[in-house]
Amino acid sequence: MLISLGLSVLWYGLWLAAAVASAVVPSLVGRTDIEKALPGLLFMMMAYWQLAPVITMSLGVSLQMRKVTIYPVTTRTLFAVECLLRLGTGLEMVLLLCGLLVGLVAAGTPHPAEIVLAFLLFVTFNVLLSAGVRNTIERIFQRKKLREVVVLLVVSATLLPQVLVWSAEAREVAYWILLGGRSVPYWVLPSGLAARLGLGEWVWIDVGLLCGMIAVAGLFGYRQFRHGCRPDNSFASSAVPTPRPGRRLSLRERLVRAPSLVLLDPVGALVEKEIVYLWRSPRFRLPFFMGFTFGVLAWVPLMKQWESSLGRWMENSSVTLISLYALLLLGPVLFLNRFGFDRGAARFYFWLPLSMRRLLVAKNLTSVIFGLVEVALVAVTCSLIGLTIGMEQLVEAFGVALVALLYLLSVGNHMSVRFPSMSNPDRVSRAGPGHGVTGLVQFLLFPLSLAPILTAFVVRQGNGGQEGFLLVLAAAAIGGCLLYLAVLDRSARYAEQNRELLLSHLSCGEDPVATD
Amino acid sequence: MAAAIHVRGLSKFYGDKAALRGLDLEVPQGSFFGFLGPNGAGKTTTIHILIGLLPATAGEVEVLGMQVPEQLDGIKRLVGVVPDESSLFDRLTGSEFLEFVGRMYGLSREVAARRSRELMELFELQKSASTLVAGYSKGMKKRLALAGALIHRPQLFLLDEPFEGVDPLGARLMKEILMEQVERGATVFITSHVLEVVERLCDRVAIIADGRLVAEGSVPELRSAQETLEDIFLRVVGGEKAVHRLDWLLA
Repeated sequence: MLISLGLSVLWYGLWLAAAVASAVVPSLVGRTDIEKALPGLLFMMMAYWQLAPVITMSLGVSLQMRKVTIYPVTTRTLFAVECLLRLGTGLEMVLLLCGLLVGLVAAGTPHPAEIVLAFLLFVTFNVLLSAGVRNTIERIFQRKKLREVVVLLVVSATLLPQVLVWSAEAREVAYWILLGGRSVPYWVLPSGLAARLGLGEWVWIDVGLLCGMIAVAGLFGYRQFRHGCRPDNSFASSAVPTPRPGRRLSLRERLVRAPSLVLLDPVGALVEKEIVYLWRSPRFRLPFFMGFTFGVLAWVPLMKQWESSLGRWMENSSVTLISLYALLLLGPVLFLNRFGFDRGAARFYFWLPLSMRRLLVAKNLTSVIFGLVEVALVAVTCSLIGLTIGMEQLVEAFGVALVALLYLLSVGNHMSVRFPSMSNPDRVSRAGPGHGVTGLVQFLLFPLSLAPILTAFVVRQGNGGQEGFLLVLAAAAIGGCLLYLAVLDRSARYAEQNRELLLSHLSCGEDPVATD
Repeated sequence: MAAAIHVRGLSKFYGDKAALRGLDLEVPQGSFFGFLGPNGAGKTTTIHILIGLLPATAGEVEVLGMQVPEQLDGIKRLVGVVPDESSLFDRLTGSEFLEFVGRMYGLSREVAARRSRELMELFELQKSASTLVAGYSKGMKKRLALAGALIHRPQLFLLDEPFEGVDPLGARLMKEILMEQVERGATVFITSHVLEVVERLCDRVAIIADGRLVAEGSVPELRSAQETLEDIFLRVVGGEKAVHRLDWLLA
């Protein structure tokens, strides 16, 4: 709670500072500069206003109005609430606009009342459009797998500055996009119209156009909102091909069944079920994809930048290091909260003829399978972007990953039984097992569990060389095996003895405010 | 013949709150046994203790001649459970769910797959066999859960509100299947609020209230010529108190 409060104060404090700056700057620059900058600034504000609810929704934070429609509240009233929420998600822009208003008045722009009206119309347009955009995208996200792609793009966009610094090709593409953007006349957009009005160029046609755009945005927003309030039938048509006798199995089906070729039931059946379960969960798929895409994009430029100070060792072990990062990304869904996706159905495990130890082993084996596939995909991605990946690097990556998995699984088993929590597989937000201080401690403990692995790298970079590295890694492997077996037994016993508590944590329902 | 379920002095406390207080129960093998009670009486708690989901605070529990919890592994292989909540593995399709359950009970993949197909047809779910369980209605989930309880041909069925949310067609199908299981020698232990169904199906009935057994016997033993099972139920659980009438409700 305190951390959230602190972050909120910091966030809005920064925007307040930006608002103060926008109140001061217009007086310091000439009118020509203001005329050049204002349309672009308002355009960026408009883009932020439309993207902000999409981003928060992608991260799983949303008020599901659909659930409130059972009460005798009219759709118009709910739409008014939705509009207030959109105003709330654009509060930073409202702060900036207030600052701009003060700045433009202080800079001597005539007719301050008309500036206020122009900005009010601009805010109204953005609120109404944002309601429509958000509801449209929410419905698209429910029906297609686009949500994961969008979240992946949004997260990857944070790497844009880094990629632009690293890649000349990316800089050229960005240049051409900006050039294309500048050729569009600014006054066809609501931001351009609002800018012109804000500068005191009071043209009734512009006012009429802006009001017309507001009307269209309002109609769009209300229609999309009404559609969004209808019952959710997203699973009704979620058919999956099922093997029929005599039908040839697809490649996917053969891959899913592969573990059963070496594992006897019930472990084989459990592993198959876990593989299918995880793969059908967007909450798992997103970090899985992020590992070998975002992970590579984030770390390779950094490794190249640090080459001059740290040498080439990071690039020489790029697959290993990025794979470790990818495994950490998978932590909340693949290690730390293994019963989360099962939710209330976890009670089945206690009345099926199955020991908790076997169940944990099966879940761990599934984690190992996905972990090793992640390593392979990281290697493929690295080679696709031009890094040279030799056999030695690959062997190192898989070997280190296997040792790391022993520690990650140990921490994961401990956390999964002691801090289980229900996790919605459809929500692509974080799925940590705890909240507040508990969550923070768990989150810190997880990467710290890789300390033995990192020690091996430190020894190699020191005087130990490759022999030292392998020695420390072997010791870490033995330690990891012992730790894993000890924690496995303890976790299984704990789960058996505290099944009531485990199941009650996993059976909490969802409320209209959808956060996890 | 040993009873299918034998319970003596069963108690379950959550802190100071008693869910069960010294419950004694005997369910004969091959019977269709109804376990009734108002909400919060302890019916679900009893079933959860019988299958080992909850530990008892005190008392002796035997299922199919085996002690709970010492011989729980053996008991689990012979029991089929339909839970009160429709929490199933919703990322699996209906047929995948049945196949998974079958394999967990020791059936080979081929046998589990064949029985899964046959059960989906029996429960009229074959059109939804390839749909994720998350897309099933409540009634469909109940039918699927019963199919899952049947797949390994258990000797004892523990069913917690199996007809809740099931339409009349589905309920009739389930009743017929359960009656057939009793005819082959299995025991059915059912909790339900649908007293007409219990009256029609069950050989014996026990009524629990506030964690204690308040009535037990065959339906003819319990009821008189003038009373229905509902009348008996309301009488023994103290449901005949005058309802405080709210004037604004009747205005």
